[in-house]
Parts: sequence; C-alpha cells; structure tokens
Amino acid sequence: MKEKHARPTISLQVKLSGIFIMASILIFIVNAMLALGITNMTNEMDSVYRDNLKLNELAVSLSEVQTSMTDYLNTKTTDSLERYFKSEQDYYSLIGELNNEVTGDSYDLMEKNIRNMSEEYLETTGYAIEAKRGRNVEKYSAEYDKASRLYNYINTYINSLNNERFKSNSSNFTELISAFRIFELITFFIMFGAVIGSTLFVIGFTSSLMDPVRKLAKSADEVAKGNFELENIEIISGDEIGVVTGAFNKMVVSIRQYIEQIKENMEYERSMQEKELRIEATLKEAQLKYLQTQINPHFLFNTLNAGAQLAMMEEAQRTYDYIQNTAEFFRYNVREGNTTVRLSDEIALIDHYIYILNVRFSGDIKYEKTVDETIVDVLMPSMILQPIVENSVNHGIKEMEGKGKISLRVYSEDGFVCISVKDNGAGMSKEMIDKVLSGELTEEEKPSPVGAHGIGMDNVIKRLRLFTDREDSVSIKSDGEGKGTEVIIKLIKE
Amino acid sequence: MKRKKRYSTRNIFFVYSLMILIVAVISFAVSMYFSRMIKAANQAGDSPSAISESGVELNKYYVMITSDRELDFWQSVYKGAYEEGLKKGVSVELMGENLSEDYDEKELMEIAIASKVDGIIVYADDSLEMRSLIDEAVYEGIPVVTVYGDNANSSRICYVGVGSYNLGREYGKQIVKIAREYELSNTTASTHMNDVIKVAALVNSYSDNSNQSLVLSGIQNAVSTENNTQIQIELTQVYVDNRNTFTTEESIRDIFRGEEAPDVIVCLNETDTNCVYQSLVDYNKVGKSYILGYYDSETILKGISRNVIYSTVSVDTQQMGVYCVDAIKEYEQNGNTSQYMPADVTLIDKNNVSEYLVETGEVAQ
Repeated sequence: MKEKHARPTISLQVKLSGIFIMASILIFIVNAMLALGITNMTNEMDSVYRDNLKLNELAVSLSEVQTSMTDYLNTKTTDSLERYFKSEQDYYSLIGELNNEVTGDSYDLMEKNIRNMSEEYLETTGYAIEAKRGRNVEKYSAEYDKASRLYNYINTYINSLNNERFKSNSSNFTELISAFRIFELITFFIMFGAVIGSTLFVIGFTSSLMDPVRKLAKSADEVAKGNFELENIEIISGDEIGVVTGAFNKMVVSIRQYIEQIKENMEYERSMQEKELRIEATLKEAQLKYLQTQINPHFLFNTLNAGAQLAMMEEAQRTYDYIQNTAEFFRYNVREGNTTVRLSDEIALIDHYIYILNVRFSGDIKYEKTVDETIVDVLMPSMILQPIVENSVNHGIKEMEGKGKISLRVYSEDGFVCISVKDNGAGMSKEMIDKVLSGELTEEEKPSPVGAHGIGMDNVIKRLRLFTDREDSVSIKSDGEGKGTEVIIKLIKE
Repeated sequence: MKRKKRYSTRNIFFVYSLMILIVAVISFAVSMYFSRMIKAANQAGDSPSAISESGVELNKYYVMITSDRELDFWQSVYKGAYEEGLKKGVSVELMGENLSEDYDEKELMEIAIASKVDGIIVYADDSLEMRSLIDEAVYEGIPVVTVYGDNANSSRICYVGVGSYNLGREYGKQIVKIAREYELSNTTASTHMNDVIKVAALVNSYSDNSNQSLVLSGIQNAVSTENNTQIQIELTQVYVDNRNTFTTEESIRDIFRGEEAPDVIVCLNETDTNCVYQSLVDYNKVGKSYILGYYDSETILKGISRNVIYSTVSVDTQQMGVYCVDAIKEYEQNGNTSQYMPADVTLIDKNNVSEYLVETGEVAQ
C-alpha cells in the first residue's frame, strides 16, 4: 500500500502524450536549426552579389546622366533636360552611398575614387548644361569633352570594381557553398541521430510501458489455461495498466478463493453421499445377517399365523397370544424395507420380543416400560432397540434365574429424545464400554450371542451414529461387573 | 533490479531530456559556428591587403602612377612607398592596378586629379602634357612627386630619383674597365692605338627625358677623363622605340641583326636590360658583347652570374618609394620639401653578385 502512494500516478494518456511531445520537440529543434541555418545561408547568399547589383545600378544611372546630357546638348529639348536633372539627382543619391573614407581596402579606395570623380563629373556636366543654355559653344564642347573623359574613367572604375568584387564574391560564394555543403552534412547527421534517438526512446518507452501489459497477458494466458497458482504481478506504474494489473491480481486471488470454496463444498457433498451409502450398506448388512437367521420369514410368519388360528380354535388363549406375538415379531422384520421407523414401532417390537422371551424363559424377565407418549413419533433407524435388548438379555440377565429386570425408558432431555435400555445384569468394565463404543472389539471378545448370529452392537452403534451424525448418540453406562448396564440413545427431536 | 525497473520510465524521460538538451546545444554550436564561418567566408575576399590589420588609422590616400607596373623595379618602389605609407597613416595605391582598361600615365593623372587624391607619385617625363597635368594637380591642391623620371619645369614639389649624371659616370667607369681588361688580355698586339670599343647606349626615343642625356653626358665625361688606355671608346646612342613593349624588343633585336654588334651595350632601364640579355643569348653573342645593365631583378642577377651581363647598377628602389611618401608628408606638414632626393645606387658585377642572389633567393622563398 505504501508503494502505491509513493508511485507517481501518471496516466497512460500523459505518458503517451509525453512520448509524442518529446519526439516532436526533438524533431522541432533539429528542424528549427535547419531552418535557421538555411535562412542565414540564403541571406548571406543574397548579400554576396549585392555589391555587384549596386554597382550595376550605379553604371546604369551614370549612363542615363551621360545620355540625357548628350541629348540635351544635341537637341536642347526640355524633355532631355528634365531627364538630365532627374538622372543627376538619382546618380547623386547613389554615389552618396559610396565609401568616402581612406581605408586599407583597395575596393573601398576605388569606391572613394568613383565618388570623387562622379562629383567632378556631375559638376562638369552641370557646367556643360549651363554653357549650352548660355549658348557658349566653345565652353560647352570643352566641358562635354571633359565630362565624356570622366564618364569613361568612371565607367572603367565601376566595371573594374564590379569585376574585382565579382571575383572575390565568387570566391566567397564558393566558400559559402562549401560551408553550406558541410552544414547540410552535419544537419543530415544530426537528423539521423535525432531519428535514431527518438526511435530508441520510443522503443524503450513503449517497451517499458508494454512490459506490464505483456506480463499481464502472460498471466491472463496462464489463468485461461487454468493455472491460478500465480505470483502477484508487480505493479510498476500508477497508470491505467497498473490499475488493471492490480484488479487482475485481486481477481486471481478471488477466483482462487472461490475455487477453494467450491472444492470444499464438493468435498462435503461427497462425504454426505458417502455417509448415505454407508448407512445403506450397514442396513443391508444388518438385513442380510437377519435374513440369514430367518430363512424364510414369510413362510414362518404364515405358519405362525396358522398356528395362532389353530390355537384360537382350540380355545388355547395363551398359546394364541404367544404365537400371535411371535408372528408380530417376525412380521416387523419381514415388512417391506423401511430403513427408518417410528420409535413407537421399535417399542412395540420390544414388547413382542420381551413377551416371547418371557414365555420362553417362563416369565423370568421383569420388564418395565416408562414411555413419554408425546415423543414416540420420532424417527429412527429400524432394528436398533431389539438388538440392544437382546444383548441385555443375553449378557445381562439370562443367568439370573428370574431376578433379571429390563427397564425401557423414553424421555426428552435437552431437546433430545432419550431412549434408555437398562438391565441389572452382568455389567461391563470401563475398558469394555470404550471398546464397544469405539468398535474395536475383536471377534473373540464379542460375546457370542445365543444363535451367534444376531445383529451386533457395533452395527447398531454405527447406524445410529450415521443416522444422527453425532458421536454421542449412543452411550453405555455401567457401574462395573455385576452391576447392570444402561444403554442410552439420543435422538434429535424433530 | 526491482528498483531499477520501477524508475525505468522516469529514467527514459530523463535520458531523453538530456538528449534533447545535447541536441539543442549541438545545434546551437553548429549554427554559431556556421554563422561565423559564413561571415568569414563573406569577408574573405573583401580585404586582399593586410593594411586593415596593421592597426594604424589611415587618413591619407596617395596614388603612384607609372606604366610598366608589372616590372620588378616599380613593384619594389611601390612596396617601399606602401610600407612607408602604412607607418605614416597613408594608404598608397599603385594606380591602374585594379582597372580593366590600361591607361597611360597621363590618363591616370587625370583620374587621380578627378578623384581628388591626397598626393600623387608619378613617373613623369619631360612632355608638356605631363607638365600641365602636374600643374593642374598642384593647382587643385594635390602635391605631386616625380619619381625616377622628372619633369623639372613643372610645379612638382620634389623629384626622387637616381643621380643620372653620376649613374652615367658609373657606366663610363665600367666601360673603361672593360677597355682595360681588353688591353690586358690582348698582350700580343704591340699597340692598341687602332682598337676601338663601340659602346651603344640605348635611348628611349619616345620619352623626352632629360635623364637620358644626363646619363649619356656622365658616360662621356667618365670615358674621356678616366680612359688611360690606348683603346678608343666610341659612344653612340641607339634609339629604342618604346611606344610599347613589343616595339622595344624589336628595336633591340635590330641592333644584333646589324652587321656589327656593339662591344658594349648600356641599358638604362630594366626592360631594355632584359631584352638585350635575351637577344644576346639568342644571337649567340655571349662573350662578344658586354651588357651594362640596369636594376637587380633576379633575371639580371642570374645573367651576371652566368657571365652574360657584365655588370648592373642596383638602385635602392624601396628607398625611392620611401622618399616619395616622406616628401609628400613633409610638404603637407611644412609646406615645402627638398626639390631633389637621390636614391642610393650600387654596382653589381660578378664579384658581388652572389650576395644579391642569395638575398633575392631568400626573398623569393
């Protein structure tokens, strides 16, 4: 989190704009330099022959003065006089621009000479014009001669200076051109460097920008393949990519959590199914064992019913009752396979069973029943109480010669329906109880029941536990050897 | 690693900014360099002379007028004047040098006057035309100094030149020396009474120069006073048509085409010396005719060392140039100056030619 604060949050847009602006600045600088250089060069090149242009202008103007003067001297027209004054004015202003200082430069000196000669020349032409007006033929022809000579000299000077200037300007121009070439070359290299530089920059920058995206893509690909065991992607920048990366990280973690949860749920469901299967299997086991003992219960039941009717016909009431009870007992077992029964049914079965035993053992077993009739509708696995009672009879009170006593109590306690089967028989040691409850009893230790094929306590305990899903659904209490045993079953009240 | 990665974006920005800065600096430097370079290129041809670099402020403008500007002799005179001018704040120009048209001295004088220069140094002749031009210049307030050739009747302020009469005497002595050598080498003859040495002095026919006659009378004088041999020395003037360079050359060749070439030829200027030297070689007269040359150009010095030219007189030409400028400067300051300034003259023959050859060689280098 701290990192997140320290990280600059520059948005992707700013970064991308940054790239373009930077690259543009670079190109701009190079271009500006180029433009500046070219402008400079062009200006210089323009100025190279400016002197020559000036001198040409001078020559043209001078020639105009000479022609107009000659014209006037020849024709004496006002037109030519006007032209003379105008050209004289022009020429005068032109020579005003020429150098008038003594310098070491021979061209400057030539300019100075041209200027001085031109002044002299203009003066002479002035005299000539004046003399013409005054019709002083001799004077104006003399002045004209002088002016013409000066005109030639000046022309020669202008031409020579023009020539010399042109020569030096040409060499200047050549140098300028060569400088320009070098400039071009250097500019080219700088341009080249700039292009390479910006390319490198853009590549470097985009790769630094794309690096997290690449990582993200790789991770996304992994996730798409189903691998959620990824390390968190490091968030490099605070931009949108960083945000997306963070979201992706969170998403991966969340998905992992969900998967974990689903797995757990599945595991739970699986175990539930397994349990059901186990319940069924143990019941099946119980039934199988039972069926092994009752070869053909239907036949037996029908037989017994026939016996009961016979006894009734013979008016042997006790025999009838006995046979009737026995038939009822068997019928319970023969009924179509409900694994879950009401507590009342189970109690009824016990009643029949005890009756039968009492007939068999001539009423040796005292049976007490305390039932809270309001709770007998609670559901429970079948064939639970009978084996317990059988166990009590077999191990508890069989050898007690009429002193044996079994009490069945049904009561509610702490929201549970409690079923207590208590005898006053042989009792059990603490170790024995533990072994029985934990199901660790070996085959030898198991007390062999009468027929050696009853439903064992371990089967009963397993089924109860599976049914109630509670370890403490069955508990055994005994104060020790010879002090009786109590088996308590706790069922959840509906 | 982690840390490095985290700052990579910022690093790249930093590096890039640095790059931009460097490019900007390079660009600036390059443009500075080029603008300087261009300016330098633009001015490169503008100042062919080194005057502006001397640091002396120039305020006067003198011109030197002569035909045959290309001759070593005049170049040397100009050099002396030019350098002296630099020292005194004067820009001295050899007039006509930069002009496309070839004007003679008189036209150049007109130009100089019209150009209102501050001083004129002119190789003058005796002509009236020149005289009036000089007078006009002085009238216009331009001081005129004549150099090497004088126009004595004009109002020129000073003449700088070689003492022509003394020069003539020098030539005369050389001629006598030649005669003596001849006498000594021909000991077989009992008498040299009938031997005649013909001396031809080349005189320019188109320059009315009093100098020439002064030289000639100097020669005459020396020959008549110093000749203590029995040999007779016969001095003649040979006119050379000097209207232009080609005519000079032709006139001189005519001398050798004649039946009998003179024994001694006296040349009074550099051109003549060169022409005679070349003709002597061409007509295979080396050793038969002696040349008394004028001026110490490299060609002439070589001629001496090769025994084609007997001797030459060396005029201190640079000194002449210096004197010219000095004269005008003095006139400007004091209103007058001395009328005549003679330049030093030295005789060069094969005994001392090596010194001069080395000197000019060094100079050439």
